[in-house]
Amino acid sequence: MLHNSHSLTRLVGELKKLPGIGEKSACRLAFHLLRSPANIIALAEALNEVKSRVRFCSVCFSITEDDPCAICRGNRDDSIICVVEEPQDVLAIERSGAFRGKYHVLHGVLSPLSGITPADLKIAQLLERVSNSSIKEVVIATNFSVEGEATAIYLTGLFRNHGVRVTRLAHGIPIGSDLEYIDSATMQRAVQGRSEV
Amino acid sequence: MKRAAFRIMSDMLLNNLTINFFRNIRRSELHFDNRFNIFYGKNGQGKTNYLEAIFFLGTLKSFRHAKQKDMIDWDEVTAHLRCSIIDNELQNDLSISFDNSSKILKIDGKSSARAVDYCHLLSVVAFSPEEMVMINGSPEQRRRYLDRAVFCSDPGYLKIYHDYYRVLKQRNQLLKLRNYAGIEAWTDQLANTGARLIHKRSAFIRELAEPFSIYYKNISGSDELARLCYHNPSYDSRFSLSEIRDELFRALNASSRIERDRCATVVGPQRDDLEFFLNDRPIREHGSQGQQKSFVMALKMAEIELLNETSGRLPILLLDDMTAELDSNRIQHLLDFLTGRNIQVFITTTDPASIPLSGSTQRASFLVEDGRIV
Ligand SMILES: [Zn+2]
Repeated sequence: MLHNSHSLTRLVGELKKLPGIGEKSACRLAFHLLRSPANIIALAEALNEVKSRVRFCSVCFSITEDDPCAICRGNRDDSIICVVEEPQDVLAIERSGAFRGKYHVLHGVLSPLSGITPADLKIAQLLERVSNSSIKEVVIATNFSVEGEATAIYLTGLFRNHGVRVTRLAHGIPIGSDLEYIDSATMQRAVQGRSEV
Repeated sequence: MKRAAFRIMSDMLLNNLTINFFRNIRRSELHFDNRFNIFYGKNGQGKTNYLEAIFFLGTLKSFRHAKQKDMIDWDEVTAHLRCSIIDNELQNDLSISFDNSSKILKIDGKSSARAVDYCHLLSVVAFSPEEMVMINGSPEQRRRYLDRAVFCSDPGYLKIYHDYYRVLKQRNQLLKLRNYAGIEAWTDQLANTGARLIHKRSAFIRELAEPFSIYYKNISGSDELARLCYHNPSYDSRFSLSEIRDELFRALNASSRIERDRCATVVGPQRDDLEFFLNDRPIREHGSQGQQKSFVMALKMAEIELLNETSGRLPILLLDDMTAELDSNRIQHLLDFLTGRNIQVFITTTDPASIPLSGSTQRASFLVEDGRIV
């Protein structure tokens, strides 16, 4: 169906590389864009702008337009640093307003099956930051997947002799949720991790 | 009997079943009796397919370990199963439509994506000749039995199981590539998740042990002492979870040279086994066919009792071809036992006369020919 337009084939090919987009959705998106030239131009400009302006912060490796990023430059608590897997995790924690320290983005988690070992993450940079600063506490906020946990264990071992406090984000039952709808794994963790009131 | 009798508060009932294009069953609609349901007919007519359909509705698995594509009528792409169940006076309609690779689950006509929620609506325990691999088969087959049984009594087990095997795969990848960067973290994580797995498995076997030996005596009508043991070198029945963890961690570290030679993790619950004894002798070598069959049957009964104790539910029981190698004494013991309980039972047999139910016992019989009920 696309064989008579090379550029359309190429667009579909590019769209298909996006997560969650298959051949069918890629075609639908491509034809949708074709029907509205204004959208095509706006999208192309947005993509270009992102490409030329957004980069990784050279300190914390979160996404930013100015380097260092606003959080690294801002008036934040320098003694505590929160280690996350991906830039979007920074956004999630910032939305909560619960954390006033700084961040460090690992850009992934340990996963030998995906070829990811410590050298593939921003771990050396984290070690250097902690060694050369007034950081007193490292909060490990990787996900609670087995890979996130293994990464947390690895980091904990790394900082054992660094004189910093290492903590792990608590996890449990979402606020406002009915206990009867909590899956049993979450429930078991919540019961194990219960705290004094 | 030492234990309290089954509670009668909530017996699970399968009321009716509709089947389309499942194996050789093109279309069938059945209404069941609350107690005994007997599928009879010549071999190869599809009696077992009816039990397999019921089992699949309850567990999303085949007790013959068949793949989905093997369970679909050769001329069709999709098979459909529907049933209505009553659990504790609450009625639910369950349905599954599946093709080679996917399935759509519905509860009361509504799509429900989560297998975990679905699987606990119809609890079912099956006994089929295939189950004899528990005694004669490989450790892997015994672990498969154990994992399924633990999962039935504790849905949280599924995550513990998946976590452990995921960590194991990750760690084995490092060993395979001989790249040991960060392996300590994976060892640590393997000990954590492995200890949780051992803890659940061993607790389940410990609880099963007592009702099991009682049921064995009941079914065999003998005084033989039947025992089952959970076997893992890092496990001792006196250990707490954290002691299991420490022991496993020690064993992993002690084996680090061997695992680097073999490029794989060599200790841990992926090598667990169950051991079966009759009068302290391994039943695999010393038991007769009848003893072995009674043994597995007793295990199923114990499983049912445990399920009843932990969840307050009595599952339905599927008995595929159980009369084949069981002598008439044992069959009589088993039927007496089942008649005294409020369990709904589904039986296949070539010879309905081999099932000596008393005249007053409620039952429905279905003659199966070429997949159809005639
Ligand atoms: Zn930054």
